[in-house]
Amino acid sequence: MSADGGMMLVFRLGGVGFVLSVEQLIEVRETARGWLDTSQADVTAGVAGHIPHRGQVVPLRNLARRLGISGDTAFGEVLHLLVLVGADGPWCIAVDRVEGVFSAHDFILLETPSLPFVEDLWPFSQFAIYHGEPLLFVDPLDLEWRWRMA
Amino acid sequence: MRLALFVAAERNFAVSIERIVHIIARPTTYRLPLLKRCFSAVFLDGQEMIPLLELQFGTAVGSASGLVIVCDSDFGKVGIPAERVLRVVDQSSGDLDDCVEEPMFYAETDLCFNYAGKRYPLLNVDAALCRFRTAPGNSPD
Repeated sequence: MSADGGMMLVFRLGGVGFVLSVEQLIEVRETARGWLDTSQADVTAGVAGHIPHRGQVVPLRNLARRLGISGDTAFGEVLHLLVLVGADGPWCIAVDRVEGVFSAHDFILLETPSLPFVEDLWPFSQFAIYHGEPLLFVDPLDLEWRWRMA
Repeated sequence: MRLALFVAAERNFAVSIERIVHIIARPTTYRLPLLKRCFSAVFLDGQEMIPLLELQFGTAVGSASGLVIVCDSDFGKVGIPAERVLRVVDQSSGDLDDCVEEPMFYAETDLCFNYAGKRYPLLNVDAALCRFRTAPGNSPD
């Protein structure tokens, strides 16, 4: 099934490709790591710290850690942030790089099979095929909910 | 029952041909996060995402040449890496006995097929996937 209309953002984290609908994206931005306030970090909730954003403070969740991607990926001196729509307000993730924004018609959305993955930890119900590559489809609301249930 | 005989990581093994969907040239593989321990990566076969069975040792996975045997299992399709197909034979052309060889995949090989003076551990994909179905893989710390 081809994805519905609209645009999709592709990003990389730890060598893995991800995609999300731009309708669930508030902003792509860069910020110096020094702006990350870790005084209220909450590892169990996946919150690495908080970032000032448009006059408020939003949580930064560590997607790499959530997925068991090792190393310091996405947490260099400059943070490449995706600010996402959340249930109670914006939240963000840090990524290695944004590849671009593309027409949703170029993606084929499919259900992710359960067999390959550790089921109780797996947070992606769909993946997209883009230029022959499987990209993990990020639904920020679903991901946020699973984080809270963890 | 007919058996297909293969080589991977310089070791022989056998798979029941009834389980084989097809054999493809080595596809591009993707090391996605949170894979179960018995899998090394996934690949696309058409629009299907299929896990690739991990070798316990050896270097067949990721080698430039080689094949992937796409098999049906009770849990879904799974890919098995191989370097080459040796032949397809009828089980009656050899005999089966208990397998004492160290498993080459994260998979069960209870039986061994003896054929033309060589031993071929018979891969039981269902048992392998049942065994590892709930085992944590590279889970986050």
